[in-house]
Amino acid sequence: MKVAWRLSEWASRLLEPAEREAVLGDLTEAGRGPLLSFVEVFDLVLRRQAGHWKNWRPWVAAFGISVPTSFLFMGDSVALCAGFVKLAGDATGGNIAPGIMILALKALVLTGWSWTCGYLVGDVSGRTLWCSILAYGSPCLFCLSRFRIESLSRSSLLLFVFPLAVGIWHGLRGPRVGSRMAVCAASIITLLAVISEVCGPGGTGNACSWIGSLVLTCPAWFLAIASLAVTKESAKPETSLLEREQHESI
Amino acid sequence: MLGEFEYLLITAAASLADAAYGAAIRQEIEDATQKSCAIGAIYTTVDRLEAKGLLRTWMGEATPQRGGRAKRMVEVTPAGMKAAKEFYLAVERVSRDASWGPSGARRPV
Repeated sequence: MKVAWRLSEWASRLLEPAEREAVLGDLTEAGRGPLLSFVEVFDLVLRRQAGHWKNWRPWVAAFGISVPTSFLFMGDSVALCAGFVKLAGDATGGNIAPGIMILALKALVLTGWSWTCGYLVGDVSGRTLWCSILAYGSPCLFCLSRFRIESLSRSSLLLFVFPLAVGIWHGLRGPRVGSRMAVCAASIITLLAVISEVCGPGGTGNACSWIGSLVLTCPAWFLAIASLAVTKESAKPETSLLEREQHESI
Repeated sequence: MLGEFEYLLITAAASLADAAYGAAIRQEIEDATQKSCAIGAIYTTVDRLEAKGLLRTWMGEATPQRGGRAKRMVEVTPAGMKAAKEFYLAVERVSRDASWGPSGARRPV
């Protein structure tokens, strides 16, 4: 019975704090028993989650951003690790400084991309974050289970995870990024991405790599444009309040 | 036009007046319909009606029999009362000549 109450409490964490308080109080007052209470809380959680999916935001966050970028990030992470391993092998002969510079640039760009994607996912779909995390986690588990490069560790697939997690945290809890900073960050990420592509092994001829970079740079520009729009809208108090309300309702 | 459950909820809240909150509304609906009612259905419908401006809610006081947890109090707005009255009149009108309606009951079957 204690387990059922614990489960109810746990399930109710997916509800808004005020609603959790009221629902758990109602169930205690009704005295329907722990198991039935758990079923009722779970039913409400399912109804609430289903309600969130009527909006476009969770769909975009989970299937428009998380799934495609997880594969691209894993590809870039492995390429980066492979680059470092190759460079370490070549360390005995010749000048390795340019190679280190390019790899450091690539690492910086990967950090920027994964942070902006995480920020966007956290900001766009805070209440359905569990699904976006699943959408990131499933491809990672799939690739981890099929990883067959002997010279590299499996963890080389997951270089992007830390900046992504920090980005999600900032998107959820952190202060909103100002328009100037967002435009500046998007410009810097784009510039660094272009430089790392031009100086990379394929140069300007590697179309797939360029397309991947373009896709991963999109979230940074989306953030920049969205923050510019918010700044513009905040000049009109009524509209910005409505916008904020709509944003908070998701 | 209100839905059937929305009408039940508004009517229960109006009957309970100052004592209208989740558990009490559910009890009122269950007593009236003789059917069980999920707390999830109550809260999602309350939210929908509040968004339509037919209800107003706020957090009330906590009581010991609720484990020290606060109630979400519900009040029917004038727009909610108007919508409930319209629904009731529509049901009354459409039921007039039905065999179970007020005039239908007098007709020989």
